[in-house]
Amino acid sequence: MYHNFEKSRIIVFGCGNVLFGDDGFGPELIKYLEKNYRFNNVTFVDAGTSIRDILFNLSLIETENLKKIIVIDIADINRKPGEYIKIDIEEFPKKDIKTFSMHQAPTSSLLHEIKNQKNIDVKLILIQPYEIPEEVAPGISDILKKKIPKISEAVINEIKY
Amino acid sequence: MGERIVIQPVSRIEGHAKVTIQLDDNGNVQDTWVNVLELRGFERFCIGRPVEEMPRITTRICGVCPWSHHLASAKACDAVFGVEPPPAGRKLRELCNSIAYTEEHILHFYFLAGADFVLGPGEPYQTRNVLGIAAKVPDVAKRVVRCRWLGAKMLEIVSGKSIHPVAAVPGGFSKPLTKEEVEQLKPMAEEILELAKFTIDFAKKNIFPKYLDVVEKLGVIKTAFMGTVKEDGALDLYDGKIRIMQPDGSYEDFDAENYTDYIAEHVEPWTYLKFPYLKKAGKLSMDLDNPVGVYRVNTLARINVCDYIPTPLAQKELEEFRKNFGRPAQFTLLFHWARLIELLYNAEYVVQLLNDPEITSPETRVPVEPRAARGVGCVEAPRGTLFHDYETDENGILKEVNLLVATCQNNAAINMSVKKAAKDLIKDGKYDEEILNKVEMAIRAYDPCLSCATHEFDGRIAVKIDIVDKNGEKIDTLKNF
Repeated sequence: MYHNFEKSRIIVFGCGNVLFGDDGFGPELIKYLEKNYRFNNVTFVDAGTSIRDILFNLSLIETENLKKIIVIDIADINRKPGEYIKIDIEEFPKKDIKTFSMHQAPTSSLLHEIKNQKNIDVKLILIQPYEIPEEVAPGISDILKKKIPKISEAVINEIKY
Repeated sequence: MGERIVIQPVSRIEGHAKVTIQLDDNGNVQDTWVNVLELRGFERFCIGRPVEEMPRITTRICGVCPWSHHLASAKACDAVFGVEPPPAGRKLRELCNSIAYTEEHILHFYFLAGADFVLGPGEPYQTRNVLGIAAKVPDVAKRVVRCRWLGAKMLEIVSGKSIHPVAAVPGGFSKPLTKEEVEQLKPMAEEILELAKFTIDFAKKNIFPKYLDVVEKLGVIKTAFMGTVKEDGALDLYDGKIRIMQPDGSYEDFDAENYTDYIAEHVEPWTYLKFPYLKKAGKLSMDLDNPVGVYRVNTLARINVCDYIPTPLAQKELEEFRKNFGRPAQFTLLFHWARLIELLYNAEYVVQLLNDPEITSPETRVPVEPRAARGVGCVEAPRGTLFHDYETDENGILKEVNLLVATCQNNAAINMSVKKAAKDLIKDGKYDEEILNKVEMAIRAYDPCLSCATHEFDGRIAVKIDIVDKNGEKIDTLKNF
């Protein structure tokens, strides 16, 4: 994974804990993208719950080829389950997002920093979950499962843009 | 009933917690509670699965220390299958463990707790973080991040994956290390060792002396300690016997598989997280003046219980540490100092392992056959002793699973340290941001990993304090963002 970072033009991170229902949407989407798409210099990463660790490393190393980071995560965005929004990191947390599952602070400030100091475009694709169980229950809901192709297209459009 | 201060969440620790400070009518601390989240239902979810899946599943528990769960789980599987990995398999596991340790300890010192010291507890919240450090000491920050990056790359070379690892398997390690890879790894390991040496020197010259008064006062409690040692008493983070050391320095050793004979669990009505305590004490009391059954794990515990450290530079540091603080050392903030000694030990040990010709042996695993058995796997996670306890039927399907994690074992001590810190620092209802941060510092010293499924955490909203009157009406809110 880290070897690919150095030559990547775009990195797509799918965040979330696969043990907790829809929280595992990000990793699930990455699986789908890896299976169905292949681009030169684009890396898909199942970041699991390690996004903060990865960003710490990414924030200060040399990444001259890297132009864009796309972060996929679930969030309470006050929409119907399965609906998503695509925002620039600059818009977060200005948007009305009540909770934001970035799985370890201070992820959002690190993303701001990556954007500002390294001049890397940072896009967030945030999906409204149907259910996040209180106890371990792997597997995303059918509602979100059905949305995978559509949200994948949004990611691909962002890659091509 | 007096007013209640609520601090939520605690910034810069793994997961989140709610600290509640209950004041009496005079504005002094009456009681405190540290509420944490727990990974609920994991054991039940595992039952009915093939045991060999566990080393892969358990890495998903925690995005911060997946290697510890991975290795404890692989060891529990070894025990269930009744096998012992070949020397190279064991050494490759140890190599990954020590590399992961260097990453973890660097992260904690510089990025999580170090900011309190490097920048000072009075620095505004907005800048008291890794970015603040990067601005104040940019060369150090650059070096630190490079070494974490190197650690991640090393893990990829050795194991194929640095996050969500899969290389440790029941019976050993799935991927032998080649001589070419060893040569590639050696300069990286040397660079990390240089940073480890620099870090402890830097801290001893510039940080610890400056904050010694804080170290000697903040959240200080007197407890027993627990950690892993080799047969001869040397520090060991991967395997050995478990040692419990009492505050007077007397100790008892036992085999990890017998942990339930030594550790019992207490339940409090206000939190899901259990409170493990020393069974022989007969009960748990978190009374600050007369604690009973409370023990601590994590860096300071390991540094206290071991007789020596089997690498030269870390051993020298241990001797200096003991000269200054005795054995067992009790000051809570010494967890940070102990963490740097361990950083040095692990960095030295990685170099040692890479120079061991046996590590490139192609014999890295032995075959396994399912059977009905119980197996306990125990490693020292960066945050403390971690137990995985599995029981399988004759087909190797899990019947029972029990995990005893490090932060849970420090639960009683964390609560006590917070109470002590709050009592010392909040007087007559007077408090400000710095005082409240010091309460958090007492928690952060334990490097607690409170939950691996954090669902409501905006990095910009680090701390929120609600002050309510005796009737529960909010009279004030303080925010650090």
